[in-house]
Amino acid sequence: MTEDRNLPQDDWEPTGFDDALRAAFADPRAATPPDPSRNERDRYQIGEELGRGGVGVVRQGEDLTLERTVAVKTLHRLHARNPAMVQRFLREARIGGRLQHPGIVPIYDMGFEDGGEPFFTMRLLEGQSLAEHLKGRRDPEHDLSRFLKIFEQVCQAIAYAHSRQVLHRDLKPENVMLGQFGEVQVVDWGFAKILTEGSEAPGAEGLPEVPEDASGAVSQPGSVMGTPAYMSPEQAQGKLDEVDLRADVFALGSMLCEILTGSPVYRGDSRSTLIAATNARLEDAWERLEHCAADAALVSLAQRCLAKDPEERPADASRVAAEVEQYLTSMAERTHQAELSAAEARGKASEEVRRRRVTFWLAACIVLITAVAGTWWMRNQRQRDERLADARTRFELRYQLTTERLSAAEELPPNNREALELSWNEVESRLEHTAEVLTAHPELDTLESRLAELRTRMTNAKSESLEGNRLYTQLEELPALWVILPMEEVAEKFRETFLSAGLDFDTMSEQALIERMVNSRLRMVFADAMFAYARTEVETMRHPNGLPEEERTRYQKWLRILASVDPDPVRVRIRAATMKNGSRQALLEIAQGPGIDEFEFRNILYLGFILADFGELEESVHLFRSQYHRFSDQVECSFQLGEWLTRTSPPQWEEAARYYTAAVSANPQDPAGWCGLSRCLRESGEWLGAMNAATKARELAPELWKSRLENARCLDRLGDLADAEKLYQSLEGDTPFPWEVTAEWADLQGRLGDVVSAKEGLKEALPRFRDVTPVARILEELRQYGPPEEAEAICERVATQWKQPAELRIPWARTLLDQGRYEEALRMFRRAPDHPPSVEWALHCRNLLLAESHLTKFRESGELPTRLEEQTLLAQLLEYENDWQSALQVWDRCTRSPMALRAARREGALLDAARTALRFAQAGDRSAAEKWLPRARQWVQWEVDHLAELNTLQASALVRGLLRDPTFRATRSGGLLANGEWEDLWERVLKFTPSREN
Amino acid sequence: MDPSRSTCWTMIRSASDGAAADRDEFARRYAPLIRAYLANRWKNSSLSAEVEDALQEVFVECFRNQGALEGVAPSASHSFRSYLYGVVRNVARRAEQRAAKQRERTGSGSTTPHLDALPADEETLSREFDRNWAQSVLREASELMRRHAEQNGTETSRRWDLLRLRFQNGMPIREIAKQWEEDPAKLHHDYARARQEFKDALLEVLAFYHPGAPAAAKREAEELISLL
Repeated sequence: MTEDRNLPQDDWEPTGFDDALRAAFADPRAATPPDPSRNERDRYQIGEELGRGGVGVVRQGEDLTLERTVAVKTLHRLHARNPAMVQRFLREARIGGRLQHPGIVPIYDMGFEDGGEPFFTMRLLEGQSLAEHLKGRRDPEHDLSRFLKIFEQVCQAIAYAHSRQVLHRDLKPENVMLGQFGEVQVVDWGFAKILTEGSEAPGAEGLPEVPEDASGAVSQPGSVMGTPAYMSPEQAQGKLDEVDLRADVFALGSMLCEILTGSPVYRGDSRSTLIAATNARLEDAWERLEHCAADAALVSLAQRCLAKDPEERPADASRVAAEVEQYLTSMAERTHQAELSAAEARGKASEEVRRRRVTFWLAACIVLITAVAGTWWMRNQRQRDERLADARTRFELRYQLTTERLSAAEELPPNNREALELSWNEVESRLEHTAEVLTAHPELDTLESRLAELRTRMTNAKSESLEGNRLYTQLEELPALWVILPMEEVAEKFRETFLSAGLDFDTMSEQALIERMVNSRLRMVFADAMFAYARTEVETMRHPNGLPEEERTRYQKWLRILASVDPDPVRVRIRAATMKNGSRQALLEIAQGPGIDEFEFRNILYLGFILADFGELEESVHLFRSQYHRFSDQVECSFQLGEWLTRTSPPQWEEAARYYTAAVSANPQDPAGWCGLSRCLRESGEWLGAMNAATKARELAPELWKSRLENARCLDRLGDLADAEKLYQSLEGDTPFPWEVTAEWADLQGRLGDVVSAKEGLKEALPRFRDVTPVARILEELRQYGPPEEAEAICERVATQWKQPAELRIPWARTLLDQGRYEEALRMFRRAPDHPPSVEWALHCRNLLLAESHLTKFRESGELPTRLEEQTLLAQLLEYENDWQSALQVWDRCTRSPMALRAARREGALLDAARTALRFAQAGDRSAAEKWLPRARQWVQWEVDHLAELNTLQASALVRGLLRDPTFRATRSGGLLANGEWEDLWERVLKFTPSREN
Repeated sequence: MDPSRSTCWTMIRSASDGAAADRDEFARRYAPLIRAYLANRWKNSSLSAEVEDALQEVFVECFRNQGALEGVAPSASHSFRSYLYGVVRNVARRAEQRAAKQRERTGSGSTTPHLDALPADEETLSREFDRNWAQSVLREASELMRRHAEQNGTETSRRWDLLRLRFQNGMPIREIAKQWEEDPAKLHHDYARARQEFKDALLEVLAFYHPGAPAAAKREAEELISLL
């Protein structure tokens, strides 16, 4: 940029360049508080702190000019450079300064500290808040008239503010201060808002308006301010443009509700209160008000103030104040009238005595008795009529509430047993509550028939609803058995469940089946389950390229029925695709077709499940990822995406954890979501996070199989083997274990020393699996438990049954390796050339064969090979031959110098050395344990000390290896190998969390 | 802007290596932006008292070994703004999680829920952050232009002042000409040149954030202005 540049260099000028210039040259002082132009601060001597909030600090101060004690509120230093906060703070001061009313704390002065922080001074109030006074009551009836008088004064103060077009927006008992001399003052106007001209509340006088912040920081649309327990629905929903004087009226209603019943309109923990406020769940408050001991006029006023629709509330606080005042006056008048009547009666009686005229005595008495009896009869009759009218109104109100709850319960989906039971219990309780009115007033017997009808409706609906839940649960769980049981068994279970619902697919006609399902509340549950049943019967998943002709006819019949029960055209099309030749391709075409963006969520879910069933899990994931922007608010979308991501190859644990997190954030009451999250965190190495999520799941559903399993897995991972064992035991028998659970449980039993049970469990599980991968895994587990001869026999038998696939030759070959039959093992490995582990192990086996020459030399002369790699192999060979002592001598010599140690660590040999030492110690030789256990710990320690030098992947692999290796895990379970130093080491291993940034 | 320093990435790496001057520079440039974001995110929340601590945590996160900086490859295509926003948001979330845990632990049993429990509106906050970022970069460009003008003499200083009066005080050129007793035509010519000088300053500032071809800086300038 030089002076001799004459003209613009080029024509480039971005759009909105003038806006950019405006922003660049905006006066920075406009966004910060003005410099103190006068030394206001020196006028006050600041004393002790009285209170502190998020925005400011209140201290006691001494006004040196007027010689009076004041309260000085200062904005937090950290907010002093935040223009929005400064604006809000000044706004509070200005609003307070302009509202001159005995019920509003007066603001005396405002100014700026030397550092630029604004402050204002106000009257120092000595006393307690209304909230503290309310807490001190024995019960809501205690001292009611005093609290009503206080409430009236609050209403008057707010009525005054409303007349000045000022909304408080955070009214609650904490913001009402009661002075020592009975004064009542509304404080904290930090959220207050001045309504703009033209809005309602006519008669507003000219209150100078504090300008709104242009950035919207003072009253931003969509932000929520206030306290939910006192918040109107429109305020809680963040519709600040709809918030007007009636929002304060709602808050006054909530305060009155608290005075009358002991609690504000919404109660419960923070989250439930917030949800209740947002959804305007007022039933609980209405019920409390209805049952409280207060007069009907007060209850009615509170209920009107708490109306969900602002239109139904009193227009402003002055109306509320007027009604409370009227009530208090009438109460005083009634008391006064009663006293007058009593005095008059006493006067008349005295007169009567004075007269004592015998001739009139009898007549007077008769007249008096007749008059009294007549009055009494008329009064009694009127009271009776009033009581009956009152009771009838109460009955109608309760009847209506019960009917509403009943209708809501009838509409509940059948999937949540707990919610159903809660709802039906509530309906029953309301029904009984309604019946109490008729019990107390037998005169209302004409209403009995309506109550009886309602009772019958409830009994039928409840029974049907709970039965629906039972069927739903059973039908939902059955497809999960596809991976565990043979299809014939699953189909039989489907048949039994449908039979229990009165649906016999073998004998009933198509029309009868359709009618039965269409007329049921469970229509869609039946439709989904029937489709799963149909696919189980004809095993569509086994024919991804189209059904054989004979199966096609059967399947068509099922689809015809389904088209009537669930005629949605998209789902009909998806179902039809499963029957086509090349059904997998047909499904993919739907998923990738142009209309997919128009599908509703249920159909996306439907298609996703079917694609997954047809082995197109990646496509299901892709479908959900691509649609997530449309359905991110659907809990099931996040949950299902998380679930599928854990099943991809390889599983996407971290991404799955994100979706599970979204699912549990949206629905924290879902134990399945917490279980999924726990699993993902566990697999990502975040053990403690996983344990927390699993604990949450168990708190929500202590009996849920998945939550118990997740807890067991986390406890195992954290070393609490005894508790993990108890949980695994409690899981047995509930349902057949999936293969990985069988393997885990057996592994735990093995580590706990119960090798016999571990082996039995694994052997029992072996024939259940239809996939070769878990079978290979179990054979490997069995090989580890030994003896190798028995493992070899099992491997041979199973591999023959499975026609000797490459995967099963690996554990088999290892059993040969364990017996020192290297050449046979090598041949076995070579017969499986396409399987990666076989190449690795074949090389290993070949190296061991080569190392045999070193073995001879070592045994003859104690001579070690020169290269570390060869030394390592020699040590492994010695270990295979169970010559622990010699193997450890080699390891010891390999790792004697620091340089050799470093090289050994690079080769990963230190953990091998430690493993050998531990096995030797475990073999039962006490002196060996004493000598080699500390050495083993030293070797592991060396690896752990240098975790930080590894990259994340290497470090995670090392930690996982340590945690999963049964030999190392034995050091965590105590017993012979217990040693305090191991505990420290394990603590460090368990605390290790891979860094996500890497 | 220190000419010996080529980009924001070298500055932050140098700060990460412990250079005190760079740390101060980093804090000077970004502390107001980060503070504003956190204060905005935590307004009406008890966490507003944690703003300064969280600000420190952001710096620690940026400077520590294997910290957030390790995960990004400095290049023309990588947005420093996104990087910084990511770090700040993560720190804020962590603070919120800590506070939530603390509340759970203390379990006051109050029937009044905590407003901190309300989820943050990430989209609005992100927009606000971007807007503040844009304003801060533009102010930096204005400041750079002023410094260049001071070095280059009275005429250039007057051009800076011309822009200031036009855009800060909203005065039309004709009125400024009258006030300065200048020929309006000449002043219009100076105004065009001043605009060009501001554009140059802006591109120079953006080159600090987006090392690469000038075309990339221009694209970035356009995007930046669209954030306002």
